[in-house]
Amino acid sequence: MSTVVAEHDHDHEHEHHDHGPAKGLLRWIITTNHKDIGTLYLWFALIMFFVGGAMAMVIRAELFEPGMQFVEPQFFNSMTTMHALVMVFGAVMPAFVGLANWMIPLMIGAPDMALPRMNNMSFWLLVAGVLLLASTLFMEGGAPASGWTLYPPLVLQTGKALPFAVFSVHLLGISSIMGAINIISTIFNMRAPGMTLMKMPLFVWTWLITGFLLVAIMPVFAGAVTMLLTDRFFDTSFFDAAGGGDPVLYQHIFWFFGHPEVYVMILPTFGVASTIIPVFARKPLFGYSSMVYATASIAFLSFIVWSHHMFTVGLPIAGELYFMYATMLIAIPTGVKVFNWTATMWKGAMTFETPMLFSIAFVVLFTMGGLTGLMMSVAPLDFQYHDTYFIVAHFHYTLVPASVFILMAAGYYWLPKWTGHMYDEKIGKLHFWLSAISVNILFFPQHFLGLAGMPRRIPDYAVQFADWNMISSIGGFIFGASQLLFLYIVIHTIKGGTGEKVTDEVWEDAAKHGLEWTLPSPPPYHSFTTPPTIIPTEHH
Amino acid sequence: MKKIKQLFACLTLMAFGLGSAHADYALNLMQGVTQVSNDLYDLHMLILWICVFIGLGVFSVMFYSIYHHRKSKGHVAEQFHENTTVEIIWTIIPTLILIGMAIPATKAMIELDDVKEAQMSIRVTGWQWKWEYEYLDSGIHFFSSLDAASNKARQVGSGVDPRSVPNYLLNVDKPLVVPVKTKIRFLFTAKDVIHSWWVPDLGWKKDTIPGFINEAWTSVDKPGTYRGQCTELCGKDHGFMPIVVIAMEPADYQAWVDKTKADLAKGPVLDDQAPAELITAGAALYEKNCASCHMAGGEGIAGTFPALTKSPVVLGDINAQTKLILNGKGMMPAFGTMLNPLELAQVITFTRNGLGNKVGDAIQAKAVKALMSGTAEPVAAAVEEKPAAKVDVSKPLTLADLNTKGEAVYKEKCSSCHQPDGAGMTGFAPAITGSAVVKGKLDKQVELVLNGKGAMPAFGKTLNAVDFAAVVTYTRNALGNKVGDMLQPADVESLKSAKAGK
Amino acid sequence: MATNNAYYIPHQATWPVIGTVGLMTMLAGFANYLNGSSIGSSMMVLGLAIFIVMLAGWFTLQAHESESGMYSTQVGISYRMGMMWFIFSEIMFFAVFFGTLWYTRNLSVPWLGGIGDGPGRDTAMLWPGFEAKWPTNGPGNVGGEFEPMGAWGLPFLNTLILLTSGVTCTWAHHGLLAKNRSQLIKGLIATVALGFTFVACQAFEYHEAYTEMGLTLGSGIYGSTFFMLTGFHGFHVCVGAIILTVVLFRSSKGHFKPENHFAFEAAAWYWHFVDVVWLGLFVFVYLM
Repeated sequence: MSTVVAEHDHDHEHEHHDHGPAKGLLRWIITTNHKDIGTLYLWFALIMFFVGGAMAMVIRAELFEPGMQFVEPQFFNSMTTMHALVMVFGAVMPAFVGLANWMIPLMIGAPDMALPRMNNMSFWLLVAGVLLLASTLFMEGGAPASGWTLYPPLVLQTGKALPFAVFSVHLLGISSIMGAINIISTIFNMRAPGMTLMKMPLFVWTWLITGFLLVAIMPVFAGAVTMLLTDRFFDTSFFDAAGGGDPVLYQHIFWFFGHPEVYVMILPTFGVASTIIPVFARKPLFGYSSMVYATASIAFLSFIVWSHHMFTVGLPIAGELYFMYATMLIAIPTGVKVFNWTATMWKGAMTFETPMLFSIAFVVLFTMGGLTGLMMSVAPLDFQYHDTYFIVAHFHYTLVPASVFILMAAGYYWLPKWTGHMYDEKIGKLHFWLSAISVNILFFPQHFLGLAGMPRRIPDYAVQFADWNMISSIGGFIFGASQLLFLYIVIHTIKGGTGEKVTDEVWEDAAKHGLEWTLPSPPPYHSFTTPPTIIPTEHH
Repeated sequence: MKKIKQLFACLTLMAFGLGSAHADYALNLMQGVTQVSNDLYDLHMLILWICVFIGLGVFSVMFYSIYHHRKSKGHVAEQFHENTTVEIIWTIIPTLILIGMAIPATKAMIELDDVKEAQMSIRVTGWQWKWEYEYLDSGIHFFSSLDAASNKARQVGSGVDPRSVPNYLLNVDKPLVVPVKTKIRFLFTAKDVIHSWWVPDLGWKKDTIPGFINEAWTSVDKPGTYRGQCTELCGKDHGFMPIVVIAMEPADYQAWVDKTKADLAKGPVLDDQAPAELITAGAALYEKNCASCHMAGGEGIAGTFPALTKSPVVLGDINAQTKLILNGKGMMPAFGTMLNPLELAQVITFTRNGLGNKVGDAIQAKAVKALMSGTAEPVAAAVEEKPAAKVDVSKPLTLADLNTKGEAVYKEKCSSCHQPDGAGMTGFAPAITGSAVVKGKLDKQVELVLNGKGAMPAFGKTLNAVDFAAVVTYTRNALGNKVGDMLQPADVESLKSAKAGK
Repeated sequence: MATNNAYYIPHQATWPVIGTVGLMTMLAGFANYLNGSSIGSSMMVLGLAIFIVMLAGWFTLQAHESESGMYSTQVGISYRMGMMWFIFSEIMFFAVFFGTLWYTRNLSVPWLGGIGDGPGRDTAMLWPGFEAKWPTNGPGNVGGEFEPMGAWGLPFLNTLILLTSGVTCTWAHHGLLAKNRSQLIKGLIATVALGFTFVACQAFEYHEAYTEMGLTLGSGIYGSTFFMLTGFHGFHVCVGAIILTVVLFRSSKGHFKPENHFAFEAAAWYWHFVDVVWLGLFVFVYLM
C-alpha cells in the first residue's frame, strides 16, 4: 500500500457531536456504528476464545495421561466437537469480522459500513446462533459429539441437541452472509475518491475475497445441515444407502463449504500480516499486486480441492489423482505469499514491537503448517496421515500460531488507535514469548504422535503415546494460561494503558501505510464524514 | 515421581533430537511390512526432506534478515519493491518441485488402488464398537472387539494403571489372521456409522461406509502381529475398537483355518445350564457387549441409552426381551448375528437377575435357538410370572386419586424409557407428551398398553386394574397432556375379559 | 463515485434486535417441537409473530425513509449490491440440492447397483437384485411403491404460468419507468395472481402425489430430492409473491419514481431468480 492522504482535515468532527452514541447498555444493543459493532464482535470473539479454550483444557487434561481420568468418552467427544465449533464460528471468524468492521471504513475513507442496520443484525444473530449452540451442552443426550464436521450417520444419533445445532448453523450462516454482503458492499461502494481497487490496503483486499467466499459457502453448509434435519425428522434418505442416498454425499457438500471456510479464517490473516510487516520493516510490501493475485488464486482453488479431506472414503482413482494435483497447486500462491513477506523484511530497518513479533512468528509457524499441508496433499501418503494427530498438528499450526497469532498482532497493532492509549510493551512481549514457546510445545509433538499412529478424536490412547501427550498437555496449559495476560493487557490499555499519550500515527511513519493513521487516536465516532482524497505516491 | 522423571527424560531427548533412539516411542512414520507401506515410507521421507529443505531455506533468509536488517543496528530501510523476475522465479521453482513430487505420488496412488488378482478376500464390517470379519473364501466369520483387560482398565476411575495392561487399547479378543506373501483383497462396509480401518504397518486406512463397499489390498511380507485402530470418529467408544492382524506362514494359516472351521462346524453348545452358571457367564458377556451403552451397573445414559435396571423390557416377558435383543431396535444392534444362543441365554439371564433386577427366571440356549429360527414357541421361562394380585375394581375413583396413584406407577414402570417428564428417548421410546396415541382414543391407548408393541412390554399381565387405570389416566392428564377423560378400573377389567373372550 | 456527504447513516436501530429475538425464538421453538416438547409449537408461533412484526416495521421504516428522499444514489447502490449478493447466496443454496440430485443420480445410485469404478465395483453384493435406474427409492424400497411425477401435465402448465409472470413483471417495470401507473399496477396484479396460481397448482400436485401416487418425502432419494427442491422453490415463490404484493400495495399508494424504486427492482430480481430456478427444476427434476 503506497498512498498518502492530502486535503484532509479534522475540523469537521465537531459538526457531528449530535451523532454520538446512545447512553448506557442500550448503546450497544441498538448501535449501528461500525466501531461499536466492531468492538462488540471483538469482545464476543475474545470471550468465545476463552470458552473454546476452556474446552481445549478439558481435552488436554484428559489426554495428560493414558487411562480415563476425568470425563466420560461421550463428553470428551462433545468437547472436541464444541471446541472446534466455538473456536471457528464463535472466536476466529467473529474476530476477523470485528476487525473488518472497525478497520475497513477507516482504511478506505468511508463514514461507516454500507448497511449499518444490517450490520447490527449480523452481530446479534451471531450471538443468537452461539447461544443455541451452547444451550446443547445442557441437554439430554449431551452436546453434538460427532466432530465439528457433523458427519452422518453418526450425527443423527445425537440426542435432543441435533435440531438446536442445525438451527444454530442456520443462524450463524445468516449472520455471516449478512456480514459478508455488508463488507463487500462497503468495499465496492464506499471507497473515498481516488481509492482505486489496486490501491486498497491488502487487509481490505483479503476481506473482499473472504466476503465472496462467505456468501458462496454459508448457504451450502446451511443446505447440508438442513438435509441432516430432514433425514432425522422428515423421513428423507439423502444420506441413507437403503433409500439411494450416500453418507459420503454429506462429506462432499460439507467440504465444499469446509475448505473455503478454512480460507475464510486464513485470508484475512494474510491481510493483517501484509499490513503489519511493512510498517515495522519500514519498507513497502514487496509485491502488492502479486499478493492480490495470490489471494484470489487461493480463493479460487479453495472451491475445487474439497475432496482432499476425503482421500480415504473410497473415491474412484481419477478423483484421488485430480484432487491431489489440484491441492498441490495451492502451494504455489501460498509460497508467493511467504516469499513476499520475507522479501518485505529483507533490507528493511526492522524493529520488534509486539505486533511485529507475532507477525514474524506467524510467517514461520504458518509456513510449517503449510508444509505439512503439502505433505498431506499427496493422496497416497494421506492414507497414513489422515485422521491422526498429524493432521491435528497441521491445522492447529495454520490456525493457532497463524490466525490467532495474527489476531493478537492486530490487537496490539490497533489497540492504541482504538483506545488512544498505549499498551504495556513489556507485558506484551512476555505474552508473545510465552505464547510462541508454549504453542510449539503444545502442537509440535503432535506431529510425532500422528506419524507414530495415534488417531485423532480419541479420549484415551495406548501407552507408547503417553510421553508426547504429556508434553503436549503441558504446552497446552501454559499456552492457555498465557492468554490471560492478553485479557489483562486489553483491559489495562482501555483503562489508560501506560499513560503515554499516543499520536495519530502511533507507529513510526504508519500514515504512509494506511488511512486509519491519519485520524486521531481514538478516532471520532463517525470516521470520515467528508471523504479524504487519495493521491498516488511516487511508488505508483 | 516416576512420571516426572519420564517427562524430564523425554524433554532431554527432545532437546537433543534423540527421541528415535528410544524403543518405546516412534517419531516418524513406521516403515511397515508390505511393499506399499515401504514405498509410502520412502515417498514420505522424500517429501519430508523437500519440506525441511524449503523451510530451512526460507527461514534462514528470514532470520538473516531479522538479525542484520534491524533498526537497532542502524540499518536503513531500502525502499525497493515489485520485481517481476524474482516473482517469476519463485513461482516457477515451486511448480517444478511440485511436478517432481506428483510423479512418484501418482505411481504410489495407482499401486495402492490396484486390487486386481487378489488371492483371497476378507469382508470387514464396522460396528459400534467392534469389527466383523468374514473370510469370503473359507466362510470363517467372527467378531473382534477390545480385550477384557483393556476394557476393564479404560473405565473412568477403574484404578487400573494402563501401563500394567499389555498392549493397552491395542489388543482384541479375536485377531484377524492372514497368511503372509498372499495378495488379500479387503472389502469394507459398516453396519451403523462410518468407521475407518487402519493398521499403520500395512500402509493405509480405508473408511467403512454403511451401505457401500470400499476396497483395499495388502500382501504382508513378514509374519508377526500388527496393531491398529479405528480412525473415523464413530461415537462414544471410537477410541476403543482396535484392530489386531496376525500374519502367519501359509502352512500355519491353513492349520488355523482348519481348526476354526472344525470349531464352527461343531456349532454352539446348546446344553442347559444352571441359572447360577448362566448368570456368571452372562456377567462377563454383559461387560463386553452391553456395558458401553447400558453402562456397567445397568443404569444407562439418560436421553440416549435406556437403563436396564428396573427396565420394563427386562422385567417383562422374557421372550419379548429375547426377541428385542435378537433383532435390535434403533441404535441397538441385532445381537442375533453376534452372539450364539448359549451366550445370548447367559447374558439375558444375567440382565434379569443382576444389575439390581430380581425377576428370578432364566432362559436356556435351546429356547433362544428356537426363537432365532422362529420355528417353535419357546419353552416357557423357568420361573412363573406372578399374576397381578386381584384388587377391588367396583369402586370408581376420582380423577385426582387416579392421577396421584398414576404418577407413582408411571415413575416405577414407565419413566425409565419414556422419561420422568414424558419426553421419551430419541429412536427408542416415543414421547408421551403430545403423543398421538395418548391424545387419541382411550380404547386404542388401553389396547396398546395392555398388549405392548415392539420394545413396549404388555402391561396387561403385570399391572392390576387399579394401577393400570391410574397410569393411563395420568398420562392423559399430566406430562403436558390435557385430554380430560379418565379410565376406571372396572373398564379395564371388562376390556381385559373382552379380549380374553375373543 | 458519489460523495459520501449524503450517505444516510441511521443513528440507532431497534428492529434488527427484535428480528433476532423473533428468529431465535422461532427456531428454538421448532427445535423443541421436533424434540416432542409441548412448548415447541407455541414458541414457534410466538417467534414467527415477532419476526413478522419486525419485517413489517423495518420495511415500513425503509419505505418511509425512501419516500422522504433520504437515500442518495450511493445508498441505492449499496442496497442493490446487497440484494444481488443475497440472490447469489440463494443460488448457492439451491446449488446444494441440484448438486445432491446430480450426485445421487450419477454416482450413488449407480454404485449401489454395482456400476462404475470406486465403490461401484462391489457394493452390489450388499444389495442383491437392486437395479440402478432413475427414479428410485433405493435398494431398501424406502417408502414403498410410488409413481414418479411426469413433466407434461401440471408442471408444464406451471412453467408457462411462471414464465408469463416474468413477462408481466417486466411489463409492470416498463410502466413504472414510463410513469404509467395503471400499467404498473395492472402488471403487478397479474404477476401476483400468476404467482399464487402457481403455488396453488403446486399444492394440488403435492396432494395428488401424497394421496394418489404414493410419492412422499419419504419415498427414498427420488422423493427426498423431488420434494426438497420443489418445496424450497415453492416456498421462495410464496415469499416472492408476498414481496410483490407489498410492492403492489405501495405502488397503489403512489410510491416509487422512475429514478428511485429499489424495492420494486429487488422484488423483480427476486422474481426472475425464482423463475430461473424453476426452469432448472423443470429440466432436471421433471424432464430428465
